[in-house]
Parts: sequence; structure tokens; C-alpha cells
Amino acid sequence: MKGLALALLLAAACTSPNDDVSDCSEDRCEAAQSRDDLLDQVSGFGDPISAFLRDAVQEDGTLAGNYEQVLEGVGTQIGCERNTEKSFVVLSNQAFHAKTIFNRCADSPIDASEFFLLLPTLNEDLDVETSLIHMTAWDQDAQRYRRYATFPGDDGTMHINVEPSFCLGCHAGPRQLGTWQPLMNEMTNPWTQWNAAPGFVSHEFDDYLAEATQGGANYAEVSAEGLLDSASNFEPIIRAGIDRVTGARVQKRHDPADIDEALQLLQPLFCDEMVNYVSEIHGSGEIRSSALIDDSFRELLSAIGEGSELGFLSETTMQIAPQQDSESNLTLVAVRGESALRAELSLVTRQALSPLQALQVRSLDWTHPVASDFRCELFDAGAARIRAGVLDGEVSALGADATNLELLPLLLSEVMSLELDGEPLSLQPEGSVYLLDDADLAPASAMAWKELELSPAQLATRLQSAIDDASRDQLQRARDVRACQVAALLPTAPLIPDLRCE
Amino acid sequence: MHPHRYPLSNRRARLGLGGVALWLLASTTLACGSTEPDSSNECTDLFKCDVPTQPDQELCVARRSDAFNQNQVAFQPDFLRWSCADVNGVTNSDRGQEYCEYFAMVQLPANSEAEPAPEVAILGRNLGEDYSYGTTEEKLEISYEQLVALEQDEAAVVGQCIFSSWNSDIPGPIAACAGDGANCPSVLGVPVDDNIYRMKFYVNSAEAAQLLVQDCSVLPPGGDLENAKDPLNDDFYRACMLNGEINQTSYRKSDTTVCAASARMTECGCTAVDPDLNVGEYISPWDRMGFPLGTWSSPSALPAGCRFIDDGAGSQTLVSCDLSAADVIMGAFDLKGLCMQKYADNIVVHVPLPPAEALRCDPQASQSPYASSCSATPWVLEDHY
Repeated sequence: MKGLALALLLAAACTSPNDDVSDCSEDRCEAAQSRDDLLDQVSGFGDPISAFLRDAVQEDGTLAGNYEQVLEGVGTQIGCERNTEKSFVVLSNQAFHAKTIFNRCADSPIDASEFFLLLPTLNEDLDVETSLIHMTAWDQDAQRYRRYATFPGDDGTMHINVEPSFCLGCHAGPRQLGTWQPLMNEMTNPWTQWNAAPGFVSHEFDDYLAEATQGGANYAEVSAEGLLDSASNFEPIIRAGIDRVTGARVQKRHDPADIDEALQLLQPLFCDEMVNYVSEIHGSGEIRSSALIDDSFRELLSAIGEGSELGFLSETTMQIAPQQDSESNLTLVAVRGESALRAELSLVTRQALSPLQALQVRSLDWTHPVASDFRCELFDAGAARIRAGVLDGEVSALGADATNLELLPLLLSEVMSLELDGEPLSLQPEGSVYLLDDADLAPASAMAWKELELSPAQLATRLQSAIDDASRDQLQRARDVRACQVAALLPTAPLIPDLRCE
Repeated sequence: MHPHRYPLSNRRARLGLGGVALWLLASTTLACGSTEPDSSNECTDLFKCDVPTQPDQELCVARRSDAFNQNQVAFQPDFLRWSCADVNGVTNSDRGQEYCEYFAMVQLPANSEAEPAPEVAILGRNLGEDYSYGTTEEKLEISYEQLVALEQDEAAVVGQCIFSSWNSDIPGPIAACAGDGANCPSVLGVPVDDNIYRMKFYVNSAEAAQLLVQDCSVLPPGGDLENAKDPLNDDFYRACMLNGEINQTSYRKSDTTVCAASARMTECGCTAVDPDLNVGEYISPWDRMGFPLGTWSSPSALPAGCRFIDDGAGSQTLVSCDLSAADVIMGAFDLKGLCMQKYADNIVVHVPLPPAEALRCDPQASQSPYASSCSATPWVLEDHY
């Protein structure tokens, strides 16, 4: 029920203004009322959008023109000319309405990730609305993305919102991280609901793009030949953006010890902060192995040096039997979000956590790489105990100069513990993991937990077997279960036409 | 082309004299992925270390799936193509099997202001004619001070993934480095030369490609014509199994694709209009550095973040792709693997084919029972399943 209520709240936050009758939808009542008001709101901001706005904002706090003027203005700020601009189109979960994203300097994903501009809605003719903009740009000094939104005024100008809170409904994830992060539901081939051309065949995009949109003058403009690009080239831009956010996040390990900050660093190991989706490539039977095995198993086992002779450690895809006529294409299988994966691996590669410590978490309820209540409730329960003071003595003993880096193993140890029959049980066996297939099978005694203990080498072998034995039916069932769980959790969950949730 | 069955030459066995000597040495004292014999290593087969070992029947199904993937169809009217990415099961020092080798180059910052920056690290570059020579160090060691420096700007480009289709038997220097070398390109300050940037494996050579075409220009064993479900009735599968028989490389996208086009041309009675035209040498000429690299949307474009290294002749055989500080930190234990995961799927080897008018196909003159289904361009295999 809590999850449903939260989902409803977030769904409202991500709702298109076309569906909302409130004058204050999408923070419109917070729009800048004057030039001075806007300048005050962006005071101290170091991102290129704020620099553009300082130059371009009119006395009444509005902008003239539409998205093209914004692209040109911000493009000038970041030194990226119009001929470096690309557009990318995705079908949203709002009745498959097309959303268009623009980047400049698109031939360099790292540079392109500095600035994103989105046209998120369609007008009453189902053509692209060009004056309602969501945009974000990286503030290098603040080490975060700054976000902005515009909406059309009655006089043809665009009103401006600075750091509107509604954006976080989608971009801060179900755990409400408090910061905007890039979001691309499908980050791997075949990018089912994205335009994948040129170079790739679009999967469901062509099937569901509205005819009215295809025929619209604005859509023709944003998808012009030479401008419209493939999701395959948007994916690395998003990855670069995620790396920016992740890098800033894990830098906080050097901050003075703070319980809440340190718990935030550990959270992505346990709870979904974002979800991604993978699909079978056009009936071939090839699908990302993350549909079955969390991607980080590969990285963590490789870091330990175990299982190098096993295939899945060097392969990001797996092969199931190709689709037969009577079978559905396996699309949109929910997997753990890339941002959480990168955050976890960032902590390991920076030696804030060991690969084994991360493996010990991944091994719990491992057949549910996403939407694991077991892992997330383990975290929340541990966090509650910690905030209630269970580790106050140990934290004090670290000294006044302690940093979050020193807090991490202490907090992780507390989170990774269960109380069974009044006795504490650590879920971090020395040199090994407890491989719990499913939360429903969680043992009730410490003795039974011991029977789940595996070395990393044994773990690698078990996971390889799981991949070798995987079937289409198995993954299809998992797809449906996860899709329903995630749909209740995330306002950004994609529309899956053949999905029925109880 | 003269169809004949099971020629003696094959892309696997042609190692040259030095290679033969090496093979003899390897078969008795082989180490997998090292330059010294390693008795503790279980890999004892020169050609089977770190490569897929499934039966040809399974591998050919997988390769067929790759070749006819809607997103990445291998057979085009003007060229054949496949990605640089090694197939699942090709690992460690065997990586680089598709006429495309790759490695990483990284410029780490200095450990302190008082010290100079270290030399550019070259990671995972193949060192010899086959996997047994190993590679340069694959793992990048980053000190704490260097990590702190890298974290100051994780979006900064500090390394490059290098993809090369410069054939291992085509000598340097590249055109841009000839003469006084004033225009010789470099990557992170490392000049382009054949020692570092040219492919090393014998199997990635002009000669090997020519031999592959020659070897596969035969009539492959057919299937049961009465049984529509016999996989040998499929053009690609039939040729793939032939390649498996001749070269034991049915795991490779490159060999199976080239073999399929060659065998199909033979089945369809295709010969060169000009009797002096050697199709194998046309496809893999001695006067070209190697097969051009491109991407799926265009043979002359590259994925975002990548660029051609200008060799002065427009060969498109050398590509460099950006590695950020974040990439280097996250992938330090195997940046070669990161290069493959990040870029190799979309860096595409293109094999230009003779123009259609240079070939004359006469299916009626062919002895193949599959000649009746020949199209006007039989090297563009069609997916009948």
C-alpha cells in the first residue's frame, strides 16, 4: 500500500500537463516572475543553461522563441555548434506519445552529456509541443545537474521554472535521491521503444508511433534527416551522464563522517534507485544476461579473479532458443538500474568496499536482480537501527576526523545482519557468500543459513549453470512478474501492451 | 574460381615457417596467454585455448543468428560486414579474432607535482602471431594519488581504445609516416607504427583472407533435399559447416561470413568476367592496409566517441575511441574488455566485394543442387527461415 501511494504521487509528478487541469501543475506557480527573480534563483549556478538564461531572459522573466532558441543559446555557451546537434525519439509511457531529446556535440558522448533538452509532450494535434521544455545541464563546480523547465505563456513567450521539484518524481527514482540523474529505460540493443535508425531496425517504435505525430510539421522538423539519430548513439551519452552523477556521489566518501550520507552510499547495493529494461534482439534468442544474472556479478567475480574460465564472466549476452512463430518476442525485461550498478562498482573500484562485500549483498535473493523486497527491507531495517543509535559507540570510536569511508564497513556490517531466535547472524561469512535463491526460501535458523554458504568460485559455477539452463519460458515469466512490480513502483515504467497485472 | 573439395590450405594452419616451428613447440610445452611455457596452465591446444568449444552444429546456428540479425545483417550488395566484437567464448589472450584487434592506451596523471607523468600505458595489446605470445599487461595499476587526480574530473578523456584492422602481413610505415614523418599521427603522443598499431595474429592477415576465399570456393556438402528441415539445406549453415571442417573456425563471424559468400558464389557458378581477376586478392589485396572499419549505419562513419586515425591514405583501418577517467577507474582490471564492451559491437569490419558486373554467374552450369535458388547477387545470402 505504501508503495502504491508513493507510485500515485510520483505518477502525478510525472504527468503531462495535457492531462492536468491545475494551473500550478509542474510547478508553474513557481515560475520566475521577473528578470530579477530569475537572476536571484540562478545565483551561484555554474551550468551553461543558467549562463544562457542570464543573457536571454526578458524583463518579465520569460524567454522569447521556442526550443530552437534555447538549443542555440546553450549550444553557444558550451561551444557546440548547430551542426553537432542530434535528436533522439522515444515512445513514452503516456499512451506511447513521442518524446524528443536533443544533445549538442553529439559525436562526443562525454561532451554531449553536459546538456540535455527534452520536448516531453505533444500538443492537441498530437504533434510535438515546441515551447514546453525540460532541460538539464551539468554544473561542474556544484558537481550536479541543474534542471529547468519552460511552459508556453499566452503571449507566445516561455515561462521559466528553475529547479522544479516535479522533475525529481521521475529522475530521482523511487528512493528520491534528492538529485537529478539521467534516465533511459532501455540502454541496450534493440532499444525496443526507441527510434533505432539509422543503422539499426527499430523494434516496436514504428508500430506504436502515432500517425498524427508522424505527419506533424514539428515532428518532421525534430526528426529531419541528418538530425534524427539512433538510440545506439544516445545510450553512450546517457552512460556518460550517469558517470558524472556517480563520480560526484562516491566522492562523498571523503566527507566528514555522516550516518545519512554514508547510508546513501550503501543504498544502491540494496534498493532500486532506477530500473532499466533489456529485450531480445529481434527474435534471435540473444538477450543481455542481466535479464537473469545481475551484471555486477561479472565485474565483481572478475575483480576477485574467480571463474575466468567460465563464459559468462566475459559475456554480456546469453542465448536462449530463437523465437518460434507461436512465441512472443521477449521484450522489456526489468533489470537493475545502470546508475545503481555504476555506484556499486565505483565503491569497489575505489576500494571503499571489497568485491566480496558487494558479492555478499548480490547473492541474497539473487534470482530477483531487481525489485527485491528482501534486500531493500534488510537495508531499511539496518538503517533504522543505525539511526536509532545501535552503532553510536563504534562511530564515536572512529574519532572526530573520521570520514564516510571509514563508516562504510561499519554500517554495512550492521545492515548485513539478521536476528534469528534472538541471536544476531552476520550475512557476511568470511571469504564466502550466502547464496539465497529466493527470499521465500530464507532460512529461519543460523544453521540453515550455513548450508547456503558458497565460495566465490562455487558461486561463479552456480551462476554459469543458471545461464546455461535458462529458457524463454522462464524469462518470460520473470519479465511479467517484474514488470508488474516495477509498474507499481516507478512512474517511468514503460508501457508493455501484452502485460496484465493483478 | 575452380571448385574442388577440401583443399589442403586453411586459415588455421597457415602459420608460415616460424609459425610451424612455434606450433611444434606449443604442442609440447604450450602456455595459454603467456610468452613462456606454463606447465600449470590447462590449455594445451594451440587453437582451442580461450575459444568456444561447442560442436560446429551449435556454433553455426549462433553465427547464422548473428549474420541475419535484423539490426546487423552481414550480407550487403557491396560488402560483407561483422562487428569487431569477439563472440561469446573468445576470451583473454585470444581476443581479436575477427580481422580486428583492439587494446587500450591510458595516460595516468603523475603521482605528485614533483614527478613527471608516467609513460602511456598500453594494455592488452596482442604480442605475436597467436594467443601464446600473450598480450601486454591487461590490468592497470592506479595509485591512490592518481585516483584522487582522476576523480577531480571524471569526464576528462584520459585514454583511448584502439581498434585496428591493419593486416598483420602488410608492412609499415603508413603513408602519413613516410618520408620525414612530419604528418605522422599519434595517439596520446605514441606515434603510429606497425609495432604497436598493426594487428599481430597471423589469422588477421591479407594472406589468410585470400586463403579463406580460396578454401571456401568449393561446393559444400549438401543436405537431404527431401527434408526441408535439414539445416544443411540452408545456404549459410552449409558453408559454415564447411568452414568448420576446413578451418575449425565456425565460431568466428568473419570466417563464416566470408566462407558463406564464397561458397554460395561457387554454387551459383560465379566466375570473374576478367579471367585475371582473383576474387580472393580483390577482396583482400596486397596494396590495401586491411578491411575498412565503419559502423552499422554507414561504412564510412563511426560510433559516437570514435574517430579514424588518419593514416594518410584513407584506409579506415585505425580507429581510436575515448576513455574517460571514470571508464579508466571502473575498468582498470581489464580495460581491453571494457573497450570491447563499450565500442566493439558498433565498430564494423567491411569487406568490399567486386562489383556485380565484374562477376558472371551461371547457375545452370553449376553442379550444385542448390543452384536453382540462386539470385542475381548470390553473395547476398537471404534468410529463408
